[in-house]
Amino acid sequence: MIYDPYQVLGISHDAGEEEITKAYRQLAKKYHPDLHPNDPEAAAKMAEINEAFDMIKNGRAGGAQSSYQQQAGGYHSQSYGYGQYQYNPFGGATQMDPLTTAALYINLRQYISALNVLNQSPTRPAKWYALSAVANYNTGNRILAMEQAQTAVNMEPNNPEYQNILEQVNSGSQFYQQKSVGFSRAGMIAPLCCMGACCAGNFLCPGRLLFLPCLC
Amino acid sequence: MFGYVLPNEYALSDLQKKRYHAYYCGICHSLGKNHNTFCRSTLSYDMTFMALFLDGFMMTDNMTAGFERCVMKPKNKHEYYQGDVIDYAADMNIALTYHKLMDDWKDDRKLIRRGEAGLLKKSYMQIAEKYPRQCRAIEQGLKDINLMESRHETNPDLPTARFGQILGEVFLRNPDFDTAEHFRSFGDALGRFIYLMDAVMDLKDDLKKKRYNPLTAMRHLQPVPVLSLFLGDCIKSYEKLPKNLNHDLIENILYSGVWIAYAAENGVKDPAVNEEQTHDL
Repeated sequence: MIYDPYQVLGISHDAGEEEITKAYRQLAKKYHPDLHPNDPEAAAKMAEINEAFDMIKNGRAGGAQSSYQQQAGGYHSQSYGYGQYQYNPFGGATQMDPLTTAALYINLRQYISALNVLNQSPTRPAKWYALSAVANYNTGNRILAMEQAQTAVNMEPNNPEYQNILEQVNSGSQFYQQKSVGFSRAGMIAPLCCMGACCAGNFLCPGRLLFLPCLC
Repeated sequence: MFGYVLPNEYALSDLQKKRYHAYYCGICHSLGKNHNTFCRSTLSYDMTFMALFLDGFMMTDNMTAGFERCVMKPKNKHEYYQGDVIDYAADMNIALTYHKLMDDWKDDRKLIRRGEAGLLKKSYMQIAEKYPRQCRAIEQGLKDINLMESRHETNPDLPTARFGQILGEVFLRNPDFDTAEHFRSFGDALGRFIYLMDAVMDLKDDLKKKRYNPLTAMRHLQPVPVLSLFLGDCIKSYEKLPKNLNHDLIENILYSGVWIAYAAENGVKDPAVNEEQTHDL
């Protein structure tokens, strides 16, 4: 399962501002908690929709500010009155630190909510990376998970819990590496030609034909 | 982007090499015969792999062999295969190249790309009519990836997965078989491997030239484990499929050949086994 905000809203990647807002409104109407009291699934879905809309609106890391952002900002105080409804399963509790909240969400298997909370954390200690790794791994962001797990271990090499997480997110690659024992590896190879790495295997590469170094 | 899924010829016997080349030459022959000479330049190792992969399951019976001398290898006559699977791989070569060229043209405005795409267009139109599902997947997939790249997507999993989806559709030649899902998941995993390997190999250069690379934000990423992860997914799907006559070539490629470019670039002896070796990207 990949976390793709466009997919969550059911629109294509080149949807315009109007289409994005329309999709958000339609879904918000469908899943609004007032229509589904005491339904944690609907509430979780609402949180996911909010987050997807946020991600697109804010253009994620390094995204440029656009007129769309001001427009969307205005939307939230419009007549619909839905605004940002945050489902808080720990209702009533006083402000918890984001890392603790995220850990609790992870225990509840609400990984997207966990990521949402982690994104709002003002600091990023080793624990942030460890929790992010777990949340990302379970939402299909396995490359991100491996990098974050490695970062957590680099920051606190003696923490067995982080070592454990690193091992878990790497378990798939262990499978391959065990299977590949005994296969002659690329160390035996020294092709003069790039063997297609740079010319996409275009057989017209003169280097390949004449056994000369790649001429690209 | 293509050109990482190739055999380790040093570890193949002469007969095995001949077999691999018969697929490779077969696709070239099909491109020239069913399309035109310019289309021959779309030939890739990756689709050659797909041809021998699909053909090994023997789901179509009409493979024959020819024997010829060709312009590129005029010294001796050599064997080449012909058949439906070869033609399919040839067609997919054109489809992928056509959209890649159109993408490159939109990106860099290099007129020559548009020209090259134009030379493929007539053939591509025929292919799009014959294989609408795959061509739609390729077109939309590359478009989406292009959008992600232009907004500097920092999560590498998103474009990687999107490219996986493209190749998953391409490998799924016949959706009616009950093993269809495994073909798709195999193609998906292989697509992710290819996209990621491409990003890994381009990273140094992209950082220097300030070009977009999905791995820019990944400061601590060890490429070998994550590349192995996707190859592992390929193997898992492969093992769910029935016996393949080209098993030996497939193993050589997936366990050994795929690392050739990476090892050559990084001077690493044994990338998949030597976990301790870390590389600063």
